[in-house]
Amino acid sequence: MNSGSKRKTIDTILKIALAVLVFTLPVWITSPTYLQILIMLFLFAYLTTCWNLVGGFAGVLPLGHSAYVGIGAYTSTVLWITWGISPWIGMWAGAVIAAIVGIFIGIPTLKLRGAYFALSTMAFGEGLRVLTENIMQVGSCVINGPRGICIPLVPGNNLALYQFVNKVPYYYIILIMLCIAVFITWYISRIRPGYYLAAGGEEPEAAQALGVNVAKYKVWAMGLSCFMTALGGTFLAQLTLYFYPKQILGLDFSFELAFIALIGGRGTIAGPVIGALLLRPVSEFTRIYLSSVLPGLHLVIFGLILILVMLYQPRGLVEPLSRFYDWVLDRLSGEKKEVKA
Amino acid sequence: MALLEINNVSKHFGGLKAVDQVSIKIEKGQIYGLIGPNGAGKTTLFNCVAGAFAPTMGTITYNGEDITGWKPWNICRKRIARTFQIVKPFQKKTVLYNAVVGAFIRTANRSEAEDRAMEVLKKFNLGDKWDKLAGNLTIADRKRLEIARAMATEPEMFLMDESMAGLRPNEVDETLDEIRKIRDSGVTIFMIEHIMRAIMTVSDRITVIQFGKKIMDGTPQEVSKDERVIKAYLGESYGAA
Repeated sequence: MNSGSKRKTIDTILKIALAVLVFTLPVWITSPTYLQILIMLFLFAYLTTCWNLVGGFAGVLPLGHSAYVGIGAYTSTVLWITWGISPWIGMWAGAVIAAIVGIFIGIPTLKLRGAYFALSTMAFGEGLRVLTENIMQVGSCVINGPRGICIPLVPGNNLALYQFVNKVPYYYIILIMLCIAVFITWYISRIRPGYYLAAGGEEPEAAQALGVNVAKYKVWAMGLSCFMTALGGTFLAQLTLYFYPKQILGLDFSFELAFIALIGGRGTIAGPVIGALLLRPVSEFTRIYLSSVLPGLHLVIFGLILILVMLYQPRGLVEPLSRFYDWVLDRLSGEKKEVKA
Repeated sequence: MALLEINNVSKHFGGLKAVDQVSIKIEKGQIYGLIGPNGAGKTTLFNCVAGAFAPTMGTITYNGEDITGWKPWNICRKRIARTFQIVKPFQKKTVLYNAVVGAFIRTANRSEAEDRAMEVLKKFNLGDKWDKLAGNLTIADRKRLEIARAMATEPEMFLMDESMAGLRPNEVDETLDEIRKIRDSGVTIFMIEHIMRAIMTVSDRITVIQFGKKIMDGTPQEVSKDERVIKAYLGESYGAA
């Protein structure tokens, strides 16, 4: 047996075990409350993974991604209510619109640096929320302003219309979406556009001198990120079946995505998932137990966690966790991590 | 026909003429030096050639093609590479990653880019440090990485901005060897340098600029004897001595 093979085997076994566990969780967990928490966890992991394409790899800090969640949710819902188009089709329309909007917002704003980009995306997100709150109807499409939209129920589990009575189908849909999103980021990080994106995010002038049209790659990343974010928006709409501008287009939402990414590890593949794993339960439980006493407390706790993480692990929790994982593997296999020659 | 021709290039920032009607002709295979006191406009001139700034006036031709005002990434694709005076490595990435970004200009295939990058790193004595984070390198290694990364784009013309500043004397000698090696591999070099010993020994020809204007050009011997150059560097009172 050549060296490192035992370690590899254990690594593979652990990963398969994790995958099996995640895919069979609904068998063990029957409580809809806990399933809902898990679904929201995966949804935030998914949305943060999309956010990470711009906020992580492209090295800027978008703080208005709720706009694209909202575009996805509103587009698919309006198409379904007005023309009876299934949300499965409507979500692609929402994604395309979000991508186009994202690209148009990105072309001027991605040239800005640091806080200026963050502020301009925030302004766009807030602007879209206020606009939506003031529109009751566009032609035959009902928007309902600040009251939001209630999606009419259809009886039973209806796969074709993206509505289910119990939580299990939602769980699998978002889990698969998350897997695809993580795969996409992993794949992009290994090809030339991913290298160019990360290089341009870190040192734009140096990247340009090495032949990278930095702005172009950032704008494409923004388009892809917004496209995928909008798909998550449709999912959220179909899950809750009711949404309103302040919830789905609000700043809280955008901030939470940024928090999750920063704490998990910005610009890493697993970071958003790990961040969501840590922060979502905090968010859910403070909402359940403390929302009547101190609404918004979860954001204060997020802030505290963020300060601690930035002080002690400025590159996010991915680093210590992957070191811990390596240590576990070393222990289990009795072999040291192999270093490529 | 010269490889790079800078014809009456000026760059103004508001009322400041950072570069004022400078002309330089660089022949293929030369090591061409650009010197001048601090703030003379050397880096600004480099930035005009490399595409970071578009010149206010004048033209720049490369291989007979007008490249005035081209964007930096298009200049790089024309096989003109550059380094920065203040090195700009991708600090959070490994040394290999840094070089791969450069190598990607000639291939979209990652493993091929990695092979080419690794080759270049070995040439510049960074082969055993490929997996270190660029941010953890010593200043000498960062300068070397800056050169290696630019060389990974396989240039024909190399603009080096103070690649030896801040190095110890023995490191300066190593870098001089590397520069000669680069030239011998068929790359034309245009360099800014403050270390006179270095630039005088390695250059075939030198242009001196002061306050944005060219004051002379010639061989290192001619330049070092010229009264105007001595004045520019040491001030009027030394000029007569």
